Amino acid sequence: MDFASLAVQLNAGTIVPEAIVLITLMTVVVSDLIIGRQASAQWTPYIAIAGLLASVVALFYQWDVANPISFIGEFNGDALSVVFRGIIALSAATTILMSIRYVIQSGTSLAEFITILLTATLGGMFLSGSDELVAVYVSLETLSISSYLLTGYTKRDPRSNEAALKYLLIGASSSAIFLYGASLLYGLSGGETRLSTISASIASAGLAQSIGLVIALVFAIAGIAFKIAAVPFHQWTPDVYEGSPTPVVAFLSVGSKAAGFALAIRLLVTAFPLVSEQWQLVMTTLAILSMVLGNVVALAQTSMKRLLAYSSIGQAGFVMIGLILGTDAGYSSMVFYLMVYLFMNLGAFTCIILFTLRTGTDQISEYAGLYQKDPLLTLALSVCLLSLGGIPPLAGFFGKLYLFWAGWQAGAYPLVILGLVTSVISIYYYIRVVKMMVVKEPQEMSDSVKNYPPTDWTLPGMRPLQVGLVSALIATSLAGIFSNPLFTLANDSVLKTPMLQQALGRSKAPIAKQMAPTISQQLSLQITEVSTKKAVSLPKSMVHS
Amino acid sequence: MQLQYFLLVAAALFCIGVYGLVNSRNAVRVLMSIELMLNAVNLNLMAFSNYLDPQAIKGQIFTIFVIAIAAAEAAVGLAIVLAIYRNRDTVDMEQFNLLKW
Repeated sequence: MDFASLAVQLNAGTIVPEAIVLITLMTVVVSDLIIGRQASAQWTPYIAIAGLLASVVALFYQWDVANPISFIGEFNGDALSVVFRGIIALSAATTILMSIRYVIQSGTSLAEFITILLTATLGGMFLSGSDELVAVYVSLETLSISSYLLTGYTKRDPRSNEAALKYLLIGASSSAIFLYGASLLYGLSGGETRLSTISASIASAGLAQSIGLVIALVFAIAGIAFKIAAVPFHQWTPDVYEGSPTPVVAFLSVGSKAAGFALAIRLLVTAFPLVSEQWQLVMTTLAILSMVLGNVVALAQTSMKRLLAYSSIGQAGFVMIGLILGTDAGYSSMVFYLMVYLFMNLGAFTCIILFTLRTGTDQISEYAGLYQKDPLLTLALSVCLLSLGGIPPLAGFFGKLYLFWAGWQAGAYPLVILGLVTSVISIYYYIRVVKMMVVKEPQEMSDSVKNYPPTDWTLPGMRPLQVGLVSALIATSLAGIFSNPLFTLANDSVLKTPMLQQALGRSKAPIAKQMAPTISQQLSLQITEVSTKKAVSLPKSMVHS
Repeated sequence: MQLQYFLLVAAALFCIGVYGLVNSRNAVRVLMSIELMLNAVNLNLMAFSNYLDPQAIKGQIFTIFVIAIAAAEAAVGLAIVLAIYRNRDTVDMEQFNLLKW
């Protein structure tokens, strides 16, 4: 059998985007070896970004593919996985933009950093589409192991070492626990490893109510909750975020988390429909704990990176609302929120990197009076933080609106009310930073801001950082107003995914399911109206806050 | 031999691994405990594969993947332990408190 017919038989066309990332990775490694570290730092990042964007373009052509199942059921490139793979690839591309200057300034090799980052991206992209236990485990570990390496990348910094060690130990043990759950699933289903067949064979073996299935579920959720940093599996998050290089944190908070959510949807919906009440209960508990603890503990933080760590725990709690609902609107609001979160969180991290590069600190008090010295950075950071807090008309507001609206429709009133309360709390700590930067008088400036060096965009690696900053700023401020394409994308990704439609057919929320498409259209119409009204008041609301 | 004996041994091994994970102060011992947990999983998979899936032996294939990835994880783990030992001259978990919880 020749290679071409084998590829056709395995339906290998579905992993073209991943193949592009893989080829880019090999190109970066080999060219770094051939032309040497100094010369390769000039252009390997741009090869990597081009490769990732090409992979996003290739994903665009995967959208309407007739037969998404490939490699004999190992990989399922359905519409949902396409969206998640796109989010991961874009977050990696933005991370590279912001990491160039950071890595050069820290005196480590840029090409190696990009290689490991691309490997993590590859793992995350495969994880979003894995439909089989072995594939899930292998891609999960590809993502995790390269994340450990990235976390410890500045190997002479003891804080980075410590973060890497903690991340590795907690991550490896949580993946061992996940794996134990997977082995139980394999046994209970009588030797099935494909997610879609597991639940059917468990049901036919009459084990739907068995305690073993619940144990497998709990173990699997422990693995997933670690990846999405849900309380009480969050202990690693603040430490790792504080200790590791900032661009890595940006990738972990968006790319790795999106991959975790993709795994959560696929595993819980396809492998555990028999115990859907139990997993919804567990995930509800995790969501409540994450929202409360993430947002309340963030109030007390003095370091910007730790603040964003706790804020990302809280944000994960919000996203989990969409997962619990089990409706069309729930899943698509989750996808929509993750897309918006990509822009605003990466924007905030770009600003923090820029500030750290100039002043060498990430203490919140050091941001005092920044407006006098660097209006662009202040504007971008304010917009991103306010968007994370959910202030209209920025992108984050529409993300939250859609999530809470979907929750309200599905009747999850307590969750939605708790979400509203905690997001009000979150606005407080985001605005505290904004106030610190904008309101302070010149004599109240912090020492770092007083000695703030003039902006020099011509240094190597500064231009990409500027591009990343401005594009994140534009995306965050406009994604809310022009959110219709993103809405349509999120809705279509759910409607076109057979796995979710099949599960929803059996789910217990038929009303919400039938109404979801029409209501989401109405909602997007209303949002466009609101946003056109609010668009004018954008600068004013920012100054007052 | 019955299937449940294998599962009991695997569960016991897993519990020993968890105990070691929680109670070890030495970072290398923590890594070893994680290996124990992974080996418990391997035993589980092999037992299920022999008793329930003797035709397709998917569990045995899974075990090979787990062993390979566990090796990669141990390599990365030991590299990180080496890096931290160079900087701090200790591998005692109690001493790693630069980052506050």
